Amino acid sequence: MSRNARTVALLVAPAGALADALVLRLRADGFHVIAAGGAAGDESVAFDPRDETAWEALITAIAARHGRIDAVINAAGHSLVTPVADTSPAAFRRLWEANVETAVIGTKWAFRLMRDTGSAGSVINLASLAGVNPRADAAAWSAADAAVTHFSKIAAVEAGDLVPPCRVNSVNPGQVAPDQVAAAIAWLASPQSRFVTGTALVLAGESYAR
Amino acid sequence: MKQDMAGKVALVTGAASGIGSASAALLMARGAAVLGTDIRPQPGQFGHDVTDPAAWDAAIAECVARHGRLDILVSNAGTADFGTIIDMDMARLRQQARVHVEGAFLGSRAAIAQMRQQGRPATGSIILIASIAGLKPIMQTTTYGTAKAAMIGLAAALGREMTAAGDAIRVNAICPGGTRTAMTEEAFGGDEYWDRPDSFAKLPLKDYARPDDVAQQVAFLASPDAVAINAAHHIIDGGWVLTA
Repeated sequence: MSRNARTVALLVAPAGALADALVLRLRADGFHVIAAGGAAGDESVAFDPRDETAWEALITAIAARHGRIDAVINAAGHSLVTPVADTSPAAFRRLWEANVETAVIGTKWAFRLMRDTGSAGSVINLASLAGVNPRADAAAWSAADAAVTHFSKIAAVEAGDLVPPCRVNSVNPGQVAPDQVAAAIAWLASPQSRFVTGTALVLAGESYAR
Repeated sequence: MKQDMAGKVALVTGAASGIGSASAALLMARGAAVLGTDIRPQPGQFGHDVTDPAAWDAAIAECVARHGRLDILVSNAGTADFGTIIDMDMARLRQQARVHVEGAFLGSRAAIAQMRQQGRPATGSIILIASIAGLKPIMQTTTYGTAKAAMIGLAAALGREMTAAGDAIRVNAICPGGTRTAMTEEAFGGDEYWDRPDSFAKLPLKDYARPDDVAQQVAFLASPDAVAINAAHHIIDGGWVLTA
């Protein structure tokens, strides 16, 4: 197993403006970006983040090819703006699966990859402002992203027992431009934030204007 | 190092040592012009008692005279005071409130006035150095922790007030955990405390922060990368509050 001289980031996100902004920023910061799930990176992998078999194959390949992982970004979730009275159990389960399960499973396999490669890595789970502040008409979304936010803190405690210790944080943006979300994630992925773990980085943007 | 703070002007209080000194140095390294102030100033720094409103007017005037404007305030000057409440007295509580709460309040007010004079909507970044002692119960911080909690509230209230006023002045608080500085060495001791195996073993990251770690967060919050980050507090503690 050879160790890549460049820092390596794994981005799990569907194709879109946020994924594009993340790839651009992480590459500008010197990362070799492995994009899984739709975005185009230095390597691009077709990937279903809800599938543990796919996770195992992916981390095995990354360990063999790069021998290190510096950042894992779980950004596969989505929003749901529906009044409680109109929220169906099926819509809630889809949201829970996309937002919470992918963060939990993604963190689990990130830990295994960091453990197997002896990397002091940083896990960043993308949630939302709804996960820290109650938002009307978004009960299911708020609850799911609150779960991601709190899970990330619990995972941060466990990450301390890896050798070397690793970090876990959530990023919680409101209505904020993709490049700003990318900048926040890039900060948490970088060694400049090496003492920051178990936090929720809230990007309120203009959300407090009203 | 990236020069993303070129053309910006920062005022850093408590700049003679510790987090203030490291923050001033890093902001300069990233291209900002910096006025460091301290009650016991180093050569080139400005003598400044942050509890005195007139001293704030003088410090801002000095900053504008030297560098032409003000974009970033790092309200960092502080003093430690640890002890059980039975041993505390009102003088010690008031001293903590004056340095931390009144210092941050007066500095923010003076900085906002200057930033608004430079144009509306005004832009700028105000960073208050608080502490995790303001978030979680830590032994013997009835005065220090109480004052630091007020700073966290001040950042949240002021940040929202700026947005509501239509200004792009961002106000954030940083909450460091164990950080080795001249101030905390005076309070807790030297290597015998910081390097003792059990001092930080319970923390997920099993270590304490160096002043530069906190300075990195200061620089991030002051930079264009953080224009969407406002009215929040930011913990940098290696996971201390998770296990407290």
